[in-house]
Amino acid sequence: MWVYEKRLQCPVNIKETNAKLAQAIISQYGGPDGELGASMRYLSQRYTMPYKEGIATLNDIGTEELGHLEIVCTIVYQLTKDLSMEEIKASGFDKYYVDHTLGLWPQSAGGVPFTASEFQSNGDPITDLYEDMAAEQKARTTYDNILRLCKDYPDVYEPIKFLRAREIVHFQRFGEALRLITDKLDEKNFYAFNPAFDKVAPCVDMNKCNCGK
Amino acid sequence: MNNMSKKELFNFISQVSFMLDDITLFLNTHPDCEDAIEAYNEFKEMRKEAVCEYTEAYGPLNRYDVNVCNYWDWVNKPWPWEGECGC
Repeated sequence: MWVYEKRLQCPVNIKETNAKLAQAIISQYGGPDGELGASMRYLSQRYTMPYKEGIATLNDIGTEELGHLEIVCTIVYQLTKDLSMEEIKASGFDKYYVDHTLGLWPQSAGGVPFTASEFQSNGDPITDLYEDMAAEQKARTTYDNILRLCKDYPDVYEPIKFLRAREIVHFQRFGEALRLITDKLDEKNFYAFNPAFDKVAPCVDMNKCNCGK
Repeated sequence: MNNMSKKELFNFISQVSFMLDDITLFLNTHPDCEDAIEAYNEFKEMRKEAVCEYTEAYGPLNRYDVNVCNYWDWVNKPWPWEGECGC
């Protein structure tokens, strides 16, 4: 069960609107490496994670990502607040505006709607954690790209820098969780079986075994 | 809340929390309703006391209230989707 707290994890106070920047940053809400996908990925994966440290990691990072999509949405909201029709037309924001006005909707910078196809919940904890580490790096790259676009806007730059730093922390924590899991498995073949599904490793050599697998 | 078993206390927290979930929805559209405000305050106190007692005796319900000695027992099972309250 979740309880909402009326605060942002990192403050956002943008004084100047910038619809062009908003159109790029919205990708971290609903784009392929955005915060919504990140949150849904980890919160979906945690059910079949067989190890307690892994569950806590997925649960708490998945929860923090909900806070991050709130920060991204706040940035987009403040960048597009009170836009005039002239600004909407001149910035190219008209294509978003026509469907959503100034409402927040999860899409990529290119206008592709958010979809669950952007993440996987595979049911094998090793596979899932590798995906999670890749996801954190992809999001970090996206934040780096955004930082290059907003280096002259400190009100935007600072919260984006914060979000980028969290990607690096999360990558580290997922790496540690992966290591804790492999410590519990056969070091000669971590991938012999799925520890969330198989009770024992499926036999490789059928001729020497009568177990029927 | 005296003499409640772990399971009874856990169920009590679930019930009183749901009362708050429901009352707060009502208050959002009736922010000046005195009866609802009174009920809110009553349940808020009940929840606070019960959560405090549960956390003290059986472990944390949220990660800002963990009583840490020498092990971070936030990671301990069961998690709610494991189908038991750990009673």
